[in-house]
Amino acid sequence: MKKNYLTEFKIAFLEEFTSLRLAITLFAFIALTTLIGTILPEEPMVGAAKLVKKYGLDNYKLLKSMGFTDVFHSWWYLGLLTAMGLNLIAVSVIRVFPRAKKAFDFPVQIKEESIKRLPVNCEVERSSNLDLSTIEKTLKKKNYQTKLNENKLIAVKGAWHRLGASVTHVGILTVLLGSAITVLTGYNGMIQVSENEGFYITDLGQTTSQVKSIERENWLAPISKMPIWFGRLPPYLIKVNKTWREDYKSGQPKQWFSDLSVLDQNKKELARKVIHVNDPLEYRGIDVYQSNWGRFSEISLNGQSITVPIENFKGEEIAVIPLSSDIGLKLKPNTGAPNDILQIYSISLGNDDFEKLISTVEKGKNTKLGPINIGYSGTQTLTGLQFKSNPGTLLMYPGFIFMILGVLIAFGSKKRIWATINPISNKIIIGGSADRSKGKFFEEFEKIISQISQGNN
Amino acid sequence: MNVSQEEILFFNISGISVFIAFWIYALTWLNTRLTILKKLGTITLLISLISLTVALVYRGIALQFFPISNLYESLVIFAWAIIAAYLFLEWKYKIDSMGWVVTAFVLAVFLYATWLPANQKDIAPLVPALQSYWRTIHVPPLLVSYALFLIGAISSAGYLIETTFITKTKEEKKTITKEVGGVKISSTVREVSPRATFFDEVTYRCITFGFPLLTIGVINGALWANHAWGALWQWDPKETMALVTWFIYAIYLHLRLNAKVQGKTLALVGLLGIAMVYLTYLGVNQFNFGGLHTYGKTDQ
Repeated sequence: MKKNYLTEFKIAFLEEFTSLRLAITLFAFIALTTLIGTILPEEPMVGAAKLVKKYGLDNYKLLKSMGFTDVFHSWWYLGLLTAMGLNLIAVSVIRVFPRAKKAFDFPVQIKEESIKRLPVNCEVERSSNLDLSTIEKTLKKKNYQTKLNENKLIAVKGAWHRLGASVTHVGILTVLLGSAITVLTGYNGMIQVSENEGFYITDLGQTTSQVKSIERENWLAPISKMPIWFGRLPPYLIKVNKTWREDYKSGQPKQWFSDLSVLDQNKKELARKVIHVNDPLEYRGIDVYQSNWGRFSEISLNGQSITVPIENFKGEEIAVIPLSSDIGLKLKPNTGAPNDILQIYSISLGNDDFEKLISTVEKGKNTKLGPINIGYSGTQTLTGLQFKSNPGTLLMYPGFIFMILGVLIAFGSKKRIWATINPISNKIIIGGSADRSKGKFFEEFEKIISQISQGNN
Repeated sequence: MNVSQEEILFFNISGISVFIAFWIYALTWLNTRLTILKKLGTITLLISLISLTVALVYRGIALQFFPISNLYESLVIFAWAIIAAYLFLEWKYKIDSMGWVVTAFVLAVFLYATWLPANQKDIAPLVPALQSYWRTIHVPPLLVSYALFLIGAISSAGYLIETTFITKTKEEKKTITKEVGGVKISSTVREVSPRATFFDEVTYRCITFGFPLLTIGVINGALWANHAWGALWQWDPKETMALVTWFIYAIYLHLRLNAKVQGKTLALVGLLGIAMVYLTYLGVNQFNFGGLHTYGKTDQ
């Protein structure tokens, strides 16, 4: 008895868990929570400080405890996604895939009463030039597959459209698996290097900033790891041979480039590519992306060294250091000259026209400007590179292809038509049904009937 | 850079043609016997589509790339997509009774594009992140899907108006009989009136055309993001809003499989869908959800 009860419960549970109703409910909840997450500012995007300012500290703490400051990583959102994933697997295995298996089965014969109950049906007078064989001919012209025996005709078209749901579901499951692998096992990181420097991808534990390697011109780039870490890192040195930018005539950046080499332990070149934004280097499971690009001057103010970004300001490559609310220094590195020099101008912050060259410093030297001692250690170009391992990508691409194919296949529907002769009334009863787009099928049915009856007249 | 005179000329021809088409469609809607006018409406709209294409080609030549890099260009292509989708549906499914509403929306899009501040309309060079062939395969499928969803939503609204205010009978399964060539064909439908059936079908067809395009657009976006930003999905507001939209239309399609669902529910989902499309397409930037897809704005 007990066993029976359990089986019944199992069946009922599976029935409910794989129901369309549950799937739609989950869709609706995910849509709603995603909408909330879109409207509310998210901590990973805007930072905690901004949220505290917006909500006040107490409200922020309350919202954070409920996951509303980072909806997409909250336990309930991940719970919903997991539930949908499980539902998708269960539905696919129990309902969707079996239907695909039967998609190409030829429809079974049905009785006259059942034909009359089909969504679309009619009766036509049987005559010398209107019989099941003439109907079969018309249907064959419309690309139906037909089966005729004695006084029954079955026709079917577009059975492959029934594979649509299965192919889409296989695609979504593959993408989910691929993203799970990437999210759980991959790693990524960022580094800024200048020309003729290179970097090794390394596990530096908690350290998140890059450190110099024992080789003077190279760096160690730290990684941030995903939760399940297999501990395999590529042994290559990735070297920047050259990096440059292209501008529009107006001075706005058009594109940033880095010429990269992948070198093995003996410094033998394994691969080389000029990358730019939108065109990464992909080599044996590591991808290196152009992320940003900039020129920086290393200066010291009274012995304290700082790095200032050189930016395009009204056509000039400069950095501005404000000294008070109305006076500032304009630093203009000139690396093109025989010596790398830094020109220092005093400027008025309110008035664009006022500027005066007050000093020029060579690389490695200092200059004294009143109370300020300015040192210049050169200007260099740094290319910002992002790298990552993406083990799930191998599954993503076929997954995406399946998803797209699936929704395209599901575009049409399987159509079935039955016809039978009633020997008493000497009439032919015809009926049909379609999986989807019923209206379109009704139109097609009407056309078929009008063609048949025209042949009769 | 300045916009060329030819572009302005063809853009204006297109706008005026839509305006004329609107009145013609409105007249044919009020008096359905004016069949010649109906053809004239289609022709006027076709002229509008062709001149808009020419205007876009001029802009493309000036820019030396496919003109889809700011909000103005995106809106113009959106208008193009609505006209093209409408003409396709009119040819295929005879939806001319909806012509005046659709052209009214196209006019609204045109006006919105025209009223954008000048710095958003200028021919501007592309920032590094947009320098990619992905731009041309990520955005257009999405704009076409939005256009189809818009027509679908108009039809959903038509369904609701029809069933709530005009034929106020309850929705149930019915058998209707139609005579074709002397043969009586009976079919089972669940809608309240033939017009309601028509609206329901149009919405369904728009969504079945639009959903694959939305899917392709979002997937192409993910692949592009992987190329440019190094991650397929970053929970950026535009991405998450597109996900919401995708789920709403997935709900529509799944509800449709279940024959017990009322047409009204489906029509409401269709309207909810277009609200989500609006938020995805324009709302993310208008309501400052922030994020990475802020190319439409130039005030950074």
